[in-house]
Amino acid sequence: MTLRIMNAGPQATLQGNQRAGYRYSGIPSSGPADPVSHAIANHLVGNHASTTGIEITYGPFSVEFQASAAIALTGAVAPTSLNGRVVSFHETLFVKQGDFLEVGRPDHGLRTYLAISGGVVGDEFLGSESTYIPAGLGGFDGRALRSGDVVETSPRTKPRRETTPETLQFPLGNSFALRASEGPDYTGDCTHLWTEQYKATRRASRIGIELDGAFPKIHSIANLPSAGIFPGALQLPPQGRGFLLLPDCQTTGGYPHILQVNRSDRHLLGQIRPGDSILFLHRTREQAADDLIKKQKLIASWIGGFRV
Amino acid sequence: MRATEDRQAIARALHGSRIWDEVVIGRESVTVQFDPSARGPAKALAMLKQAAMDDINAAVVDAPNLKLLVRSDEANAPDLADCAAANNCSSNEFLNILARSNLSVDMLGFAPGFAYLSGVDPNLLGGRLDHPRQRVKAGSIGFIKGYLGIYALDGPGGWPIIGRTDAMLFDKTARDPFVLSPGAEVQIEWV
Repeated sequence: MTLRIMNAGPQATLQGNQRAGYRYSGIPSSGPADPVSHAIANHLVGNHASTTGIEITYGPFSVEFQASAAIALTGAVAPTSLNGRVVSFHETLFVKQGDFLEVGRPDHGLRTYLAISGGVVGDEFLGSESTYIPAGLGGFDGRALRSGDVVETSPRTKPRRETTPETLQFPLGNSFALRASEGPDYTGDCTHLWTEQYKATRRASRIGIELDGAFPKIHSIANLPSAGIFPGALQLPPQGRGFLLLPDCQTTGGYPHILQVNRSDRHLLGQIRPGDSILFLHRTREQAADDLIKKQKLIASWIGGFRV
Repeated sequence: MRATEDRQAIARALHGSRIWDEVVIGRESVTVQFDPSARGPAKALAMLKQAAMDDINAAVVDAPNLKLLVRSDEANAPDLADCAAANNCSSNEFLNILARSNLSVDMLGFAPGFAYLSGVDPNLLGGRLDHPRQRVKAGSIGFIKGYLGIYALDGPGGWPIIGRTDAMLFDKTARDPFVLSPGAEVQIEWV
């Protein structure tokens, strides 16, 4: 079956599993910026948690279905209608040929996830169909979707109707408290990172989010030899604004890496929009591992075997 | 893990152990990623230290040798004249100094397949462009003091460009899609 993109909005891409194990050759992981919402949407339509779906960045987005399918919407909740009638997030929806889905702009959060039973078909590169726009890899010709694109999906038997348990419908607001640990370049001058409030600027993409606020001055280590870097890192470039890395971030970097948002909360990074405020909660590495185990248990209670 | 020597051997050993999700070589370090819910941080650190001591020698392999034919006409080397002038020499002299260098791939990073080549004569000076280019063609070779950088794919970049090779550096369908890998020795022949 196919679906036709009627309005792709500011940026919509195909995202599936992470392109894991290739950072040594400079290839970032990509995959959904909010992998938890992506997995929940997939589970609602009977797909494996990392099946390829559509990541919608801040609507409006609309699509016409050209055959019957089950679909689900999660992530940033936006006013959404199917053939003009309001539909809910976090539940299985059944569509038929000619149905028209319109996703508006979310009040909070930035990215909405649309899963389709069977999953959409993207270009595979190194074991993943996830789009990496900077190098034009994976996804739909390696690029963001455009109005008029026709996206194919794989066939799948009709799933049962499901609703996401309330405990997994993580609410989104205009502020984020992110659990984080000290990075390799954290110094004694960094302690106020844990009390300061930061604001996301307009420089926000799948590569990273720039943060405004009072950052430490770390002159002594302004010129570091490039080292491996991962999503969740908070880097401090010389202009003095922090840069928080997302799944499309480069694999090595030379800016001070002052803290690391822990894996337990990294899925939230995909929902931070310009203007949102951010607080970092100090965790030791052991606490970070415990937090992760707890969150994974919570999600795996519904999506068996799920890993963030 | 800080390791100015043998980073490539350490990385190969860590990679070969299949314990780590990602192994990344930096200028002076090797970084790994692991799942802390599967293996606690203290255990992971202990395993990392052990692995780096145990397996390095076993993982030493003969580095592949590659010869690249590189064009240095103005269209393919837009910044060559400036780089040469900054070093008070002619373009030909500049390229000759590079041709005599023992170049090898130090690490990949910054962009998919982007290779940092070390071994460049340290007397040659040069820094990044003030205004990075939006699009640098695949195969382009940049120069910054101490390093050559080879773009495996088209992409943005701030390295002054001193040549370009037609060699196929990227094969989308290969298991290891990039021809240049850490440790590879590279010989450049200017054409």
